[in-house]
Amino acid sequence: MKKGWAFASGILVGSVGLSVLTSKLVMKGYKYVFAGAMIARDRIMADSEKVQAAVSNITAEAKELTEQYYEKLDKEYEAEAAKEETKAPEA
Amino acid sequence: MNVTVLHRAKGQMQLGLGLRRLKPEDADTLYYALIERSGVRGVSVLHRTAQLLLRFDPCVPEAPGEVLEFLRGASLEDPELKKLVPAVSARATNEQFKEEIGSLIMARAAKRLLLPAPIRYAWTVWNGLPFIRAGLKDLIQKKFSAEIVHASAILASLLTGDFPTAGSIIFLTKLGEILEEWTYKKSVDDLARSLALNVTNVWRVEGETTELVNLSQVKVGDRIHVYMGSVIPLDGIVAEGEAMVNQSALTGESVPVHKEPGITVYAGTVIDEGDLVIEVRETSGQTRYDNIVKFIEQSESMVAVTQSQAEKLVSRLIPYTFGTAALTWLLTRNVTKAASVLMVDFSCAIEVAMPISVLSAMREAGAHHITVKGGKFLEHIAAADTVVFDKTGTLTRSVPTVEAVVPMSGRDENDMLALAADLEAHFPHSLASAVVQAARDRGLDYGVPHSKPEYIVAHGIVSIAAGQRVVIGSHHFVFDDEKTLVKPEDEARLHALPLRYSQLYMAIDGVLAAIIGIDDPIKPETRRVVRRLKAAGLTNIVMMTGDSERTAAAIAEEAGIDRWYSEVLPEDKAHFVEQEKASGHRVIMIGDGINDSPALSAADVGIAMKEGADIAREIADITLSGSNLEQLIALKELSDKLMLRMKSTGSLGIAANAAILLAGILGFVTPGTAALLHNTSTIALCLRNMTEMIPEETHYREA
Repeated sequence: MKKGWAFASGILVGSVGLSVLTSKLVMKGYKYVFAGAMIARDRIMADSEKVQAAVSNITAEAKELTEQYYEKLDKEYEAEAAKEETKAPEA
Repeated sequence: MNVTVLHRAKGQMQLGLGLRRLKPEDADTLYYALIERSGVRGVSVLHRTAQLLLRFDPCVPEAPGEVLEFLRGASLEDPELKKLVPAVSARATNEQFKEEIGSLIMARAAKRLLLPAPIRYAWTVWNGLPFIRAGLKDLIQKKFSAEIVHASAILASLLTGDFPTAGSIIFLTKLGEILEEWTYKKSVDDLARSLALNVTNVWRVEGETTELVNLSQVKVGDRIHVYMGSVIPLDGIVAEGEAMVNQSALTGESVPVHKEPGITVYAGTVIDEGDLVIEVRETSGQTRYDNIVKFIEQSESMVAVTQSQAEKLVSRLIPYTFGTAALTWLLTRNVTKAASVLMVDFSCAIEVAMPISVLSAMREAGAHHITVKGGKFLEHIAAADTVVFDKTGTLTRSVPTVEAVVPMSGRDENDMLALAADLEAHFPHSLASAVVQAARDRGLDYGVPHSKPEYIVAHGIVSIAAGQRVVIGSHHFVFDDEKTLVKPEDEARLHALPLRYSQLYMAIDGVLAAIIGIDDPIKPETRRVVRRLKAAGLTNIVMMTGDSERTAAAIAEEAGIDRWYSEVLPEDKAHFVEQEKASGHRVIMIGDGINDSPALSAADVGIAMKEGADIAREIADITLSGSNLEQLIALKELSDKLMLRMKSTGSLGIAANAAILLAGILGFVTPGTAALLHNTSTIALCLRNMTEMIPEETHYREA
């Protein structure tokens, strides 16, 4: 019995479904669906631009921070070396 | 424009343009207006959000301020700015491919999220059909290609009902295709743009006289005069004169073609010998660019030898892939395992990743202002051990200057310089440009009408001006060939100039009229470059020059070159190159003049300086922007690294695929995972091969 129902609904989808999908009224709606899809795509692409900008900003700042960190280390090292040098003649 | 700074850090800046979005053409205008500015390293135009991302050279701290000021004062409608946009915009191409990839990924995501399974499967079958068709076509033509492997993998997955696997194979293959096409198109476009050199000025014939006008002023029907060694800038028909024209830039055929009145000549071809008056039939624009692109695509030199060897190896592997799949099926009776073997395709890594590495190397060379006309030349450079340098304009400064004009008795110094400039103006050579520049600097009018000048290669120029025969050229040419006399009272002046000057002699009606002393100092970086080239394996460095032994010895010593030949003729240079090749050397020739062309074409790789003669540039396989010899080091490093990269691409590709294959046979991975792993490894290889080989920090600076 179940099989019979499935068969019948298959026939229904196959015949009526296709004619619904190709009917004039529904055809008119497709352009809105596609336009919607395209707008959605553009929105996502625009968001990806925002991400790109953010990533670029973060990378640039991270680079700056790293540089500052090493500069600080260099300065400390130099100061240490200068101290050693002034000590040396005394010894 | 209304520009606001949205974010600022050291070396980068994000700008808002006060618009909702940018039109594509405005995005192009902005990109090309900014990218060539000093201190600007990178420009991203975010056109959907009307923002700019700029990267700056940290060594030029004033650059961001300058750019801001420039943008605030600029208008997108400014025709001067619009002129900077090339005929085919690389930025627009990149955007197009980015959008294609974005759409592909989004369509797949949307499909998986929104569509019910049966429709998704139908969609997959529909999308798989073209691949299966392509595979069948190759099978019928008995061409063992990657297409057959792809098709059978898709078919196997579809027949076993594994739709998601079929779907991901199709998706990844499509993605790979787009990425491949993108890199290819970008590299070809970059190359074409640098080859479409701008001949900005042409000699227009107006009645009896010729005048120098900008190319953009030339209209259809105008007559232009093109001299020996120059590029014909526009399509047209020969009106007067006869010449041998080298059409290799269009046809790839290096034998010059004879042209006489009534015959068509093409833009981008070069006059080897003679000169022509051409009636213009088509003004510049798209056609010429298209021709160049076509030429590059047809050129076999695009394919490196290493690559074609690897491709042959790989097409031999394809039947074995099928064999292994069949064997796996026979032994295990498991379609899934057999299909995972088919997912693994050895050719992918080599057919896709290798050309990308070559094209990307050519593009990277372009970023260093080096134009490479084919991948195989990079290969030759990596293998070369001998470099032959021309002296003038190559080892020495590209802008020699006139230091002194010694007029002979009864002549006026400025008159003599103007006359010399008048003759030299027609023939591009570094010494000639020096004379013309000197005349221009002194505000002299050198537009005196004279009959057509004739260039005698490596010797000098002969012309008739105001009824008198004027010759200008080397000592050998003026005194030995032309038998010029020196008035007794001028004898003392012959030795007035310091020895280090190159000397041009000019005679009127057989009597010496003036000597022009041109100083041509060695480039500051020459010595360092020579040393580094030697260290990089180019042990045999030779200098050849038409100059006197004394000048040659001085320059060679200064440059650190121990082999040199002085007072050589062009054919000697070519002969020497042939000799070195015959004795088993791989030879690079570097020169810039008309007289270097035979040697440039004889060498394994001919390198020309961009300021040099058109013909040298056309014949050369590689051109350097010429301002700095450091480019040679960059070129050598690029070539060596490219060779390593191609080798590792081959071995990594085969190793990765063999591992996947093994895992597939042993049943560790499903066909879907195998396809994913295979494509990921290929794309990873491609991405690696697209990265720059010379790190940005060590970019060789322009002097």
